[in-house]
This record gives sequence, C-alpha cells and structure tokens, in this order.
Amino acid sequence: MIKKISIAAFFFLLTMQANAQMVAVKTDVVKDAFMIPNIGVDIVLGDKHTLGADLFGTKKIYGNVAEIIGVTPRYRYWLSGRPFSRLFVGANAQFANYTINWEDKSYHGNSFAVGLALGYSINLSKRFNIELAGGTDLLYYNHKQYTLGDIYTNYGEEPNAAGVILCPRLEISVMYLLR
Amino acid sequence: MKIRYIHIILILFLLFPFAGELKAQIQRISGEVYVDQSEEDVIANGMFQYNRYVVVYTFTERSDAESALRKLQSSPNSAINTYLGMVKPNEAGKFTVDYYSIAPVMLVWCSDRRYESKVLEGGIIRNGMRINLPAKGAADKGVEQEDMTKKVHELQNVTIEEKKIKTGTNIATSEEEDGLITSQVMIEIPYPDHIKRKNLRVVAQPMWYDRVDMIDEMSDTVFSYGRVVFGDSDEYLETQTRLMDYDVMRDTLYSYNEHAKNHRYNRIVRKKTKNSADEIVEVEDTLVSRISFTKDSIHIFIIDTVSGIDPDGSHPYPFGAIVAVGDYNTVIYKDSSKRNNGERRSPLKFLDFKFKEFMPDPEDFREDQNEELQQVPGELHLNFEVGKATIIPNDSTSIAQLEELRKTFSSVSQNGGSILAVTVHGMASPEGNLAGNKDLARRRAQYAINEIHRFTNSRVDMEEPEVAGWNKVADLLAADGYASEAEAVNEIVNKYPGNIYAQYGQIKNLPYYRELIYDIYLPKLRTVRYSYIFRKYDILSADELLKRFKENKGMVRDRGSFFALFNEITDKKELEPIAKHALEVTRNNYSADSIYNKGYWAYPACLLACCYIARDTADYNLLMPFLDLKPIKVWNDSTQSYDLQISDPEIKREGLNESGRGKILNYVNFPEFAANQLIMILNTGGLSQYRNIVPSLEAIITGAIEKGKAGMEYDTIMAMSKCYRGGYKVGNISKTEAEAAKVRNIAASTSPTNLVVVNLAADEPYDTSDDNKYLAIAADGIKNLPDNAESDYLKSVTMLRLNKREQAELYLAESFMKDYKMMAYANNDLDLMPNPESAEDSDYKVIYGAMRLWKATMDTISAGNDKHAYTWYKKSLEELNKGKTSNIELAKEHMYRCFNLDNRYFTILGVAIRNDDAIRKKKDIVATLKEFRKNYSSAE
Repeated sequence: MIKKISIAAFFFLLTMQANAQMVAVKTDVVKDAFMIPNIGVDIVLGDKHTLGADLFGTKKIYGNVAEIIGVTPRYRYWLSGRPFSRLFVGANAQFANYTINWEDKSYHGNSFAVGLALGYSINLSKRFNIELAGGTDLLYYNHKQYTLGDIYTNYGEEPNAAGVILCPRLEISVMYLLR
Repeated sequence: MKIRYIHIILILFLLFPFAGELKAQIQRISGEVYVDQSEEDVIANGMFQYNRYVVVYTFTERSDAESALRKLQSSPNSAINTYLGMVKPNEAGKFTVDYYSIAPVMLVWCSDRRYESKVLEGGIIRNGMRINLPAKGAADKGVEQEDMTKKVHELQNVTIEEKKIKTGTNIATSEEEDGLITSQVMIEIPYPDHIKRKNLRVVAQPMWYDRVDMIDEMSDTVFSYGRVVFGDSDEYLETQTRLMDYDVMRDTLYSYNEHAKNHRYNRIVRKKTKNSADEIVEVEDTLVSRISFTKDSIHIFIIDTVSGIDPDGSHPYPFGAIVAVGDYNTVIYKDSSKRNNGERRSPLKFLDFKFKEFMPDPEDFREDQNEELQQVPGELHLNFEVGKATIIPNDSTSIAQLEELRKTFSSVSQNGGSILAVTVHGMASPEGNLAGNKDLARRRAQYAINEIHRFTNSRVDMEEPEVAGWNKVADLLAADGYASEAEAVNEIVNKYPGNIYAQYGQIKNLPYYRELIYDIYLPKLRTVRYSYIFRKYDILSADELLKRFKENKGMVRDRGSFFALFNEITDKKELEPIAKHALEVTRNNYSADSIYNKGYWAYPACLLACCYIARDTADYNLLMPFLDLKPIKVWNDSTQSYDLQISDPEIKREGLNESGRGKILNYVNFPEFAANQLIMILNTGGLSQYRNIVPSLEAIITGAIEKGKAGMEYDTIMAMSKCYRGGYKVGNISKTEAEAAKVRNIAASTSPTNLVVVNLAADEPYDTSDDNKYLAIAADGIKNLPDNAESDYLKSVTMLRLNKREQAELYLAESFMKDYKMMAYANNDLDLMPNPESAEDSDYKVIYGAMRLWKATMDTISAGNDKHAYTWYKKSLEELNKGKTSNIELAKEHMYRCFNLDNRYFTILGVAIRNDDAIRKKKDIVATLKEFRKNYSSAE
C-alpha cells in the first residue's frame, strides 16, 4: 500500500507544476565528500520563509558497509527579507534509517534529530548560490547493535540500544534555482 | 521493515514541494473599453493600436478626478500629468492596470476619445514594490532614525531645466540626455553610512505644488503627482528578478511601466565603469526617470513635464519629491524635498520654425481608373405617420430627403453612369404588435419604392422588412449619452430574451418612456434604408471627376479616380475634402478584401496630413497606421549607447504578379510619412505628448537617407527636431561634436533669431572652458535680429552672459515696452539671473533694473495722462507708500481703475511685486497688493 502511495506521489510530482514561485535544488558538498550522495529541494513560502528537505542515502562509505537513507526537512527564516539571499537562521529535523558496520560492530536502526542552524547565502549568478550553514543537532537513536559474526536473531527483535547525542552540523551547499 | 521506512521517507520528500505556495498579491484595476461596433474590425486589425491605451491618472480627491475627467472629455488632447501608466486593452477591449501610487483615487480613461469614464476608488496597496511611501510603513518606522538622516543627508541639487516653452501651446523640451524631456530634475542622495549597501531599491514620488500665481510663495497643496520613479541596485535587481521567476516585468513596479517596454525604449542597463566600485545599474525609461547607484551617492533623475498649465511661464509650479530608499526588509531612509520655486532655464523658448509639409511621391501610389460596379449606400429618414405607411403631409424633412434622393439619382446618369439596381429595406419601431409592425415596415418600404420609381426606371428590390429590437433603442440611447437609461432598457431586454411583448410591457413603465423613448428614439427607427449599384463606363478626366465630386461625392469611389484628382489638384484647401473623402471611402470599400487592408489608404492619409500642416493643424493619429515605430535596439560599442533601428520603408504587397504589381496591403515607414508626422508634432506643440515616438520617426528618416530613399530635403527637419530635443550639443541626441555642429549650423541657418537662440543654448553660462565661442557667435548674431520684443530679450540674455549688466537691463526694459508678456518670461527665467554660485550676486536680477527703467520710460510716456493706466498704477503705489488706512482705500481704487483701463497691468503688478525695488522688500505693501489682485480676480 505504502509503495503504491509513494509511486502515485512520484507521478503526481511529475505531472503537476509546482505553484511556488521559487524552487531551488541543491546538494551539500560536505556530505558528498563523505560519499553520501544527497539532493535537496527548497521552496519559497514568503518574503522571509523557505521550507526545504534533503534526501540522502548511501551504501558504502570508504569501503565500509553503511546503508543509510534519510530525509532532512528544514525551515529557514531569512533575516535579509529576501529568500536565498544573505543571512538566515533555520530549524531542521532529520529522520534516518541505517545499517552501519563499523570495525567489528554493526548498528541497525533509526534516528531522529532536531537542531538549529545559522547560515549565509551568496548569490553567485542568476541561478547559482553557495550556501554556508552551521549548527547543532540533538540526535536520538534507537538501534539494534551486535558484533559482526554473531547470529543476528540471537539479539532479539527489539532494538537494544538507544540514546541522545549532540552533534554538529556543517553544510556547504551548491544551489541551483529552477524557477 | 526497512523497505517500509524507505517508502515513508520517499513520500515525505516527494510531497514536500506542495507544502506551501508563495503568495504574490498584485492589485489590479480592470475594466473594459467601450468599443463602437463600427470600429471593432479596425481595432481587431490593429489600426488604432497606438492610440488605444487606457491611461490611469491619480488624484487625491474624488472631485478632482471628476473635474479632470470633464476636462479630458471636453478636450481629449489636454494633458494632465498625473497619469501613472498605460495599458493596451486586449482584442475584446478588456484591460487590467497594475498600479502603484500614493494617491488614493484613480481615474481610468481610454485615450481614444472614448471613455470608460470611471472614477475608481483605490487604496494604498502593497504589491511588487516593497516600499510603501508616506501613507504607511516608513512613517511609523523609526522617527528618530529619519530625523538623524535628514539633518546630514538632505536631498541636494534639485534643479529644473526646461528648455522650451512655446507661447500658447504645451510644448516644452529639454536639451538634457536623450532629450525627450520637458523638465529634468536631479536629486542626489549621498549614502548615509547605514544605507551604503548593495541591496537597495529607491522609489521617488515626484510632485508639483500649487502656486496660486506668479507672485505667491509656494503652498503645500499638491497640484499634481508625477509618475513614480524607481530604481534597483545590482543585487536587488538580481534577487528581484529571481523572485519574479526571471521575468522582472512581473514585478508590479516594472509592469507598471510595461507600456514603455514596447513603445518607449525602456531598458535596464548595467554598466561597469573603470573603477569597479562605481558600478551603475540603471532602470531607464526615457519618459520617466533614471536612477543610478554610484560610489558615493544615489542619483535620481526625474524627467517629466507639467504640460498645459504653464503656457507663458507665468504660473510656475514648484517641484518636489518624496524619496524612499529601502532594502529587502524596510524603508531605511526617507526624505522629502520642495526646493525649486518654479524658476527655470529655457534657452530654446524663442526657437521658432514652421516646417513645410512633405508631399508624397505620386509614383509610389499610382492607381488606375477602372470600369467597375460601385455600390453606394444611403438612408432615407422619412417621418411616417404613426401606424401608417404615408409620410406626414408637408413635413419639410421628408420633402428635403426625397429631393436629395432625386438629385443623387439624376447626378449618376448625368455623370455617365447608370443605375443597375436599387435595394430598399424598411424598418419599423418595436412598440405594439409584431406582425402588424412587420407589415407596416413592408408598406413603408413599398412607399419608398414608389417614390424611387419616380426618379429612376431601374429595378428596385425590397429586402425582408425588419422590426427593430428594443436593444436598438438602447444603442441609440447609449450613443447619445443616456448610459443609465440604455442600461435599464438592456436589462429588460436581457431579462425577457426573445419576448418582445414582455420587453415592451416593462419598458413602457420606465419613467422616461414617453418623453425620451417614445417621442425621440422610436421615430428614429421608422426609417427606410436603400443602396444603389451603378456602373461607371468611362475613364474620366480630372476636371470631370472634380465636377462629379462636387455634385455628388458618393459617385467618386475608386482609388484610380482619386489618384487622378490628387494629381490635378494643388490647392490644399480644395484637396483636403477630397483626401478626407478618399480616406473614408477606401476604408469602407476595401474592408472585405483582406484583413490587412482594412482601414485607410495610405496616399490620401499623407495628403490630408500635408493639408493639415499647410493650415497649421494636426491629427496625430492620421499617419500612425503607416508607421512601424517599434524600434530594435542595437548596442553601439563606440558610443556606448543604443542605436535605434526601424524597419525600412516598404510597400507591403501580396500576390505579386509577373510585372511585380500585386495588391498593395500597406505602405510602411515611408520617409514622407515620418517627416509629416514629425512636422505635425513639432508645429503644433505635440512634442510633450508624443515625444516618445520622435526618436523612432527620426530613425525612419535616417534609415531612408542611408538607403538612398530620401535626400537633402530632410536635413532641416531632422536638424530642427534634434535641436528641439537638445541635439545642439554633444549628448544622447548628437553623439559627436560633428553631429552637434551640424544641428547647430542648420538650425542657425534658418533665421537670425534661431542662430542666436541655438548658440545661447549651446553656451554654458559661467563656464569658460569652451572659450565662450558660442557666446561670441551669439553676440555677433544679435546685430541681425529683427526689431521685436523677443530679440530684445535675447539681447538682454546675451549681454548678461557678457557681464554687461546695464545693457542687459536696458534691452530687457525695451523688450517689456514692446510686449508686456516678456515680463512673465523674465519673472522666472534663470537665464536672466546671475551666477547662482556667486554669493554677492544673490540679490541681483536683470529684471530689477529693467523694471526701474521700464517705470522711468512709462513715467515719461504717461506724463499725467489720466487715460493712461500707468498713471493710476503709479498713483496707487504712491498712496500705498504713505501707509495710512485711508490711503490704502484710495490706492485700491486707483489700482482697480488702472486694471480696468488696461487689464495687462494685472500681470504687470504680479511681476512688480516680486521684482520692483520700490515694492518687493516692503512686506506690508506686498501683502496689500496681493490682496488687491486677489480681490480683483475674484470679483472678475
């Protein structure tokens, strides 16, 4: 059922013209450097407000198994009074599902984060922007953690580890304005 | 489970773009232009495109708007300079106007002499422009900040330069920049520290203040708002363009100037100067404004005119502006200015030249006479008796109509034609029984047929008779201006569609049915229309054609006949009615031929223009269908500006045959047409109204000269046109000194007066960097001036420039003696004031000395003569100087007596109050005299 909805939503997106007047796509080169391909969309809600989301995912990071998929919705308030221009403050969330093998351990579960960010957007040309943003996220994780080589089912059905950590956020994004 | 999460994430992501929309509210006025049915096809065909604009004016009071509307309706060409923008209605006549103004009441007016006469209420709106002028926004934001900036950064350098004021007309031009300018105001705002940033939008609202007459100080009453002037800095423009989806015209502020995009060459220019810090971004509309952001300041050039209100310079309107500078968020700087007192420099005001018409080359328009069938429509207005098919006995109108019919028919046979067939179509009014009415219409047509048979033996056919619908009544009412009555009738018709009885029942109950509809409009529907077809056999000589035209102009209908007539007749008075008729007939005759050919025939239009020029009148719309004025802008690297290119002169044909003579669709951009249009504009003072098309007209002529299709004969008109617009010195009109010299030389060669005027204009007062060479030529030229008031005035200006003040005063006084109107000129003329930079001259004006001399001369002339107005003028002033109450009463009596003897003294006193040494510094006397004038004019 959910699969059907997602397919329908995808075609809906293709057939319908977005009504928003400004739509931009972007990619965070920091994530890209960590072998996490990502793409984001930002739309303008008003003179000072934009809403955006990144979709990111990966299979391997430098040879290590790291199956991650996640989405990062965000809201930004543009202090300059003009979207995608100059200083902004933002709030973001992140939801991810992952399976990561790190040294002899494997982590499989979900995470949820909320955070604040401050950034600056530079107009490079008619359609290109560079955006710098930094901030801090409060991340809650809930996963099943086990030693590689063990029998997975021995650890039971439920996640066996959860916690909250504070993690820094740094983004350097290249943005292209679609319309 | 993992797959499930991935899907959830995907859905969230994909649906996300629809989470919200940008709301961009743009306020609009919309409406519909009333289109006369007979013109519909013409409009659809674009023949009136240039003319069909809806113009939006703003006023502060509804009553002002309504009185302006009345003024416009009585005199469609009168200019009111508060218009905000124009839009072209679409094919259906519908239009919308995006507007921005600080003024709350709007008037929409269609400039085609037909009015959608609406006064619309409008409020302050927030739209594409993100700065609100005084009404809100700025005013309530940080008063402290405003005061602080005001002190240090007042608006500076407000000057008005007006270069030509022609007596009795609205013409006024400037030499500045591209010269399509009447007055140019430059406001400089040095950047206060806190606004020195890149994301700025500047908006200025120009205003003209009222000044009761030539003597009063400025009042705070705004006479008129000018068009809003705006400009964006580089970054602002870029982000704004993004915001408007890469079409900046979606910004209300820009689209408000959209007409300029097509019909004036409005442009956004970016220039990088050598010093990159000096980057300038300009939003330019030749009509309105230019705003530059330079390194140290913002320069605002406001270019507009107060036309039609100051024909003789005696009623100056002080200029002011509210300027606001904002970033993306808010207004960060606001100031207002009212600096100019109405004094202006106008060196070209005495430049005068009447251009002669350019006759088109007949060979371009040759048409042969053909033997052909011609169909001529006509209408008989016979006053039938109610309910009967006989005319009212001894009714003079009917008898005259029948006599006219007899004459028409007999002239056809006398002129060698023969009537082949006549068709008659009877009509009855709608009241009463439908079948009965139809029968009545048939019997009335039969009555007309019997009458026609008395004059001709030809076959007479009857068309199906018609009972006019009530909507026809509504049409007639509307055409005569009974709009609400027409609406009421239409409403009833639409309420009962197809049911003529129900309609009648309702309409009968209207309060004005009896006196308006029954007595006036229903009889108009009881008519008989007819048309006749005649064959013309022979090729007639011009004389015969002329005779025929005089007897029955309906008989001359084809282009060949007209062409023969035009070739023969040289007298413009005789030519005019024929050209007019040809225009009318060819428009009707050829309308079915081709969609392109609906409308005028070019040749008579040009001839008619020539006739108009010969008798010093103009119809600005006459030649417009034949001029393709949409310029192509070509960037010229060597001059760092745009050149205009217009499509070449050509005859547009279709269906070319072997001999190369297909059917002519139209004649476009012939130099004669452009020149005549230019001449009509220049000769009759249309420059302020039509300045936008002048560069295009010049470009047509230039193009024709370059292609060898026009010759030396166009040099004078080109030079004078450029001269009027400031081409006598290097600028946007004349790009090089050689061009400017050519303009000067040609203009100077036209008359001794023009020689002096042009060189005085080219001379920069108090600037010796040009070695005063133009001044030397002017000084030499004044010897040859004719003996009149204007010449003395020019001599005075020249002498002042040469620093010979005594002589300047003497000449000016002589000028006053010859024509008192010169006083009104001198009253506000910066050309007669010494160097404004020089502090010691702050209380010197040539006119002070001239007034002294004038008084001395008048003393001698009047010498106690009681019949001379001056005697009483002088006595009145003497009484006032005594200063007692009883003396004031006597002074008043004397002054009124003076005014009654010679009403010019009313103006003279006004000038004297400001310029007569014996008066101007005495506050109480000035006040009393002002009182006199005020009382006198109100008593008048």
